[in-house]
Amino acid sequence: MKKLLVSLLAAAMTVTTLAGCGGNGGSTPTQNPGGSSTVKQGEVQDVTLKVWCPQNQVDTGIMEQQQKAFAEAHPEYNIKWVTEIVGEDKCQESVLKDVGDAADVFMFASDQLPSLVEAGAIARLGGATETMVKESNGAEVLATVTIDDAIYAIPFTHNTFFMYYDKTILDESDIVSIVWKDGDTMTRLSYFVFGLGNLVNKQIVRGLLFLIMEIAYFVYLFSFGIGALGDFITLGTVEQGQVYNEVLGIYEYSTGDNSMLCLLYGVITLVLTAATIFIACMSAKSAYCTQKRKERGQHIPSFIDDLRSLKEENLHAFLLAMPIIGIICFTIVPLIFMILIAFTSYDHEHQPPGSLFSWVGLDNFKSMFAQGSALASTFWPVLTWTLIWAVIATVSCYILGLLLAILINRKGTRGKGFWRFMFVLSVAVPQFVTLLSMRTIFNANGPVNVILREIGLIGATESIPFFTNSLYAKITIICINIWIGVPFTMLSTTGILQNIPAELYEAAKIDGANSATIFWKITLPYMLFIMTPNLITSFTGNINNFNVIFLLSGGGPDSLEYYYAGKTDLLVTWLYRLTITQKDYNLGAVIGILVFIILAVLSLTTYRRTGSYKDEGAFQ
Amino acid sequence: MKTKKLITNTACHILLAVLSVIWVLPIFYVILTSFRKEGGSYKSYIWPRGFTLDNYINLFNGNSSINFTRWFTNTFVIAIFSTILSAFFVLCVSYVMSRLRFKMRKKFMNIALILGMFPGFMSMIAVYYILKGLGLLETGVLKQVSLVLVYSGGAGLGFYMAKGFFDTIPKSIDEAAYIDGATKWDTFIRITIPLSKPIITYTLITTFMGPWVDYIFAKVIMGNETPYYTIAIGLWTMLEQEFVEYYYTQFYAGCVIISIPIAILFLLTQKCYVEGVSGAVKG
Repeated sequence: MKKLLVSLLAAAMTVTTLAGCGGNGGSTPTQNPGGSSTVKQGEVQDVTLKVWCPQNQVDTGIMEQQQKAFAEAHPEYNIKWVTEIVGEDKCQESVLKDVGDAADVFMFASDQLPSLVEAGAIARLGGATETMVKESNGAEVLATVTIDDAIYAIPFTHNTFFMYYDKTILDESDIVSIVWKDGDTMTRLSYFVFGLGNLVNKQIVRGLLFLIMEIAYFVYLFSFGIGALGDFITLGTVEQGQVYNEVLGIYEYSTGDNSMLCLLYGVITLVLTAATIFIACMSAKSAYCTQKRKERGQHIPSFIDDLRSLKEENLHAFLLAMPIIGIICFTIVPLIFMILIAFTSYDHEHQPPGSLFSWVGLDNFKSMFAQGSALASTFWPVLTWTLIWAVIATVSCYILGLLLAILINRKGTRGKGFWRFMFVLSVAVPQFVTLLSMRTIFNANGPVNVILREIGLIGATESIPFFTNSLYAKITIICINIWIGVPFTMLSTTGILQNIPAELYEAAKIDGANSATIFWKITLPYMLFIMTPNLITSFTGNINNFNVIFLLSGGGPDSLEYYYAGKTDLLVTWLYRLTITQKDYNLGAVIGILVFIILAVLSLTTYRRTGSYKDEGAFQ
Repeated sequence: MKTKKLITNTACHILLAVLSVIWVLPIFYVILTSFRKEGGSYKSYIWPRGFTLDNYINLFNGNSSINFTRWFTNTFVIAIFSTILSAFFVLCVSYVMSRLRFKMRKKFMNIALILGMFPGFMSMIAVYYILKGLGLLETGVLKQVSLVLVYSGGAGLGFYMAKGFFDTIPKSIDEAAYIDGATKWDTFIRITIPLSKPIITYTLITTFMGPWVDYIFAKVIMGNETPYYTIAIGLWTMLEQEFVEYYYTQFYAGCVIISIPIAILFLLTQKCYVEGVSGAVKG
């Protein structure tokens, strides 16, 4: 009896709520299935009904509404309500704890249905209620409340949980599991026989293109690739040397393996394999899309349509194809190659083709950081100087450039264009010309020292060791770098200076500020705010500033404490020396990787916070 | 009050004058030395004792190991080809990044940013061996071809300036074209490119200047093939031990000769440089 009442209540609640939410149901008139009642006419029964519902039902007052409406619709019962808050996710737990003590009406998430039915906690619906449920719900929704053709609950809301994916990044045809599950045999086979899905659906040219690429790859693989991969792992096993040839009775010169080429071919094979796997996914994706189109009865694009789409929706593919191939060949593959070299023993003692080198794992890194080794006692000082240099160079150029820009830009200056021209002229001449001449000028017997001698600042045979004393060298380089960098910063700051609203300056003058205060409180903060990405870029540029150091001092003066580095070497110039002069390629590669890590950490943490990165669509 | 202003202005102008002299001095020295009569390197004075035009004349009468004219033409040809290729790559990539929206777009920009953080010549050795493996280093002419490829290969990664510029062209122009039935390709060719003359000029000029001043890559690829050198390697060889005594002043003359076009080109682009920086960070 109670069960019937409960089911009536549940039905009434559902239907009214659906109408109330304005949800999928639209407005359904409150149905009151006239259930059979075993109550005798005229009697009023006392009933206690325990209801469990989620918090929001109580908060919005819906639960109370429903309880009132139900009580009104069934005057034959005198209902005492016990309402408790149990969320639909917790329902199963609470019910199964003690089925007898559980509520009479409760809400549960649809995946809890099987366990509740098994525990006997809910009754099967029947009669008018069952009909109502069947009629007012679609097939999928009905399925969620049905077990073995019996309906056990009334679907309340359609709030199911979905997994979303961002269609701007992926769509269904990109997700392999969807393609695999949903694709027919041809689509699945397209992972293995490229272009099959297309050929079957009469997209001949496209299918053939895929197939040709697959055949080409396998031809490469079996004729050359497998050997290359084997060599890649071992990095060559046969040393160049002399082999005794029994037949001829002499020693013959055998070429042996070239480890460098083994590595290179291995990398190329790996890249080609990765590309082929990518093409496999493309082929399956293409087959899947075609299959879907066929199912929907849409037009299947022929090759001419494909070509035409290149001009329209696929314009990005068309325009990016060649640059990307260039980048892969000339930037990415060499980079992978060099990174791998950092894990080998390719140094001046192991020069192919004469001798082999092999994988050494992280040994190079360990020796770079280990205390007391020659490398470590070079690495840390060089790193310190690199960072100090980058900071001083960036800051000095920036501040001085800014001051110069202000000097030129102020009201009283005549011939602004002329002054700017003079400064820009100095950097228009290529750096290697000016820097080399600086080197000559500051030489021990060069003009500057001679003039200083004549003036009497230094003795007749003395000379200031501009580039040969480490401290002097550092100072000289910083000063000369100012000479190079200031015109650039002057140019970039000028543009922004001219955009600072004049009202700020006028207001400050009215308030009685002098020039220094104006600079510190208005100009500098404004410039820093706008030019932060620029500053970061110059900082990273200075860390890698090869030209200035190399052309001026060559990284010198050389030091015996260091492993082939000088006192003014940056990490990049040390890299150059190790690689070109010393032929320690692996150490050079290690340094390159470390430089990259430093820069990446610095740039990504700071750059992402700046507005320009987040706000690039501001103009559009 | 007016006197104070006058004094401040004069002081500023004097300061500017002094600074400009300091800045231009090294250039002055370069020009002076190119006219210097006495040969030899490291001299202890700045002002030459005698002036002559011989240095310039001798430049063009080179012998087999120092062939300035040949180097000049080499570099010119290489510069033209790599400019066309690089500019094409850069413009395509920046247009796509700016205007079109597709999956992988942000990823591509992030990857480009990261790839730019590796020191440039780390990949140099690998590129050399790749080119060798492909047989592109057999003859001098092929070496020049590979140099062009090296210069323009990774050019697609340097799209930031051009992209910033394309971002400032209003999208409404594109949309008006779409309404009139143009495809995206048509819009690109017929509308966007004519509007982008400043940035195209800038890109062309900056990529043109590249091969003239680059030493490292060119040296690695060219090796010892003297007739096929570019001008940068050539000038450096003049400073090598065997040549330095005789060719020192000619080195400076050569420097002056190539500095003139580069300086002019640079001055043409500096306006764009200023606008580019300030425009890009205005937002």
